[in-house]
Amino acid sequence: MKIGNVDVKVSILAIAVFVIFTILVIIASIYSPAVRSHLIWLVPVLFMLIILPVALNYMSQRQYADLRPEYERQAKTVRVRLINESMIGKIVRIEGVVEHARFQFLNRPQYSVADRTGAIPVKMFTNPEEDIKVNDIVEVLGQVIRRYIVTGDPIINCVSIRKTGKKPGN
Amino acid sequence: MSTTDSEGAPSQGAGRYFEAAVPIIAFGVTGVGILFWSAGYPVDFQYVSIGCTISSFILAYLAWIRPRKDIVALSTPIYGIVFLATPIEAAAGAVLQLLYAAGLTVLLFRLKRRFSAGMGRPAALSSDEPLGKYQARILAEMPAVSPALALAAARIFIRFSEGEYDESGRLASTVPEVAAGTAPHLLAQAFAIISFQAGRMGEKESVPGEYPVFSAEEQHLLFFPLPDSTDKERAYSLQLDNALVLLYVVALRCTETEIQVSLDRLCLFARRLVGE
Repeated sequence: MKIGNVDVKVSILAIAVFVIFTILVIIASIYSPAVRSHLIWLVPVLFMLIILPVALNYMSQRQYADLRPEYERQAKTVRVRLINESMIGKIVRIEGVVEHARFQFLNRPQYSVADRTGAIPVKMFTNPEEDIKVNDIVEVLGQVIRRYIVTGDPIINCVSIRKTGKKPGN
Repeated sequence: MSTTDSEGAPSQGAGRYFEAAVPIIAFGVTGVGILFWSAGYPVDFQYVSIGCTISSFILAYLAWIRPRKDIVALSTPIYGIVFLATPIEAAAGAVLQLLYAAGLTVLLFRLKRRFSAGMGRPAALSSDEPLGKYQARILAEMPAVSPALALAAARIFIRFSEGEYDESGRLASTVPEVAAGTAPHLLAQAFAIISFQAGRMGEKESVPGEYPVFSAEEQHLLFFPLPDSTDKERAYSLQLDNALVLLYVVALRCTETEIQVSLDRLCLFARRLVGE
């Protein structure tokens, strides 16, 4: 779904929650007249269950789009092995192959991107601009953060992940 | 009897008992109070809170004897006294005291993790690990590295690890001992490699036609043997990795405390560089 220039995606989880509660409200209103009298506020609340994730996704996508040019400007291309705890907060660019891709259905994808020197987890807190799959060669722009914000090994908080090719032989 | 180790962190001897006492006393006394109360005895939870109060004082003591003071842990006795001084109804008192005991336990873990000097600090290089063996080899080969050169190596390595490649490259190209020709050739070459490659680090990676390399005669002093294959990219990045590892082990000779602390923190990075 496109709102303005922003491609908004709702996670399957948000849709599932909306569907489950809609079914529950329908069943309850069929069997209980008391529930029917509350439909006047239950229906808007149900719609909020889908509107809020859409709005949040729209806002995060807008914010990421605003950040990308700044990250493009500041990022330093580094090899994965050179990323370490002293670089927390630094904006980096890495290129590598996607080894794993998880939680894409939650709009919070986590990738493992490897170059010839090593692999590093890449977390994103919104959906990427394009569909990224395992074995895609990608360029990642992001900030080095700790895995659990205040502790843990360095990972990349991704602002942009773009396909630049496909691993040969796939 | 000392309750602290050499770093001031109470991780040995009586210190361990004090640490264990915080959750045990807080939960224990409250638990006993709850047991009596559920058995039908009249229990005044205002006074059962003495367990939490004692625990909070122990926690504050543990925070006080550390070199870095944790103001949150230090202030917990205030709440402990408030509990002891305030009459409270049994159910609410039990819940509140259990939550407070849990809070004290969380604060104890936080204290141990974030306010213990030396905690989370990687162990010094051991002679059994590859990096330690390499350090011994370099020490034997270059016994006369000057403190100034070790300091220069440390600064370059630290700046490089921070991702300050331009600064690291600039420092590597302006080492006075290299300019004066007094630095060992191997080390001078390492500076040259870092100066060259760090300067190109911001650019999209590509292997230049010509770049500084370690000579074939010096190969036995490098951590990674240089590949003789046609894999140019690997050969190029191994030159940098070898130069960085060499600088790290030389930098460890630096005697400045501040630099040593930084290098200790970067031990994990150095180990990562050598693939540990």
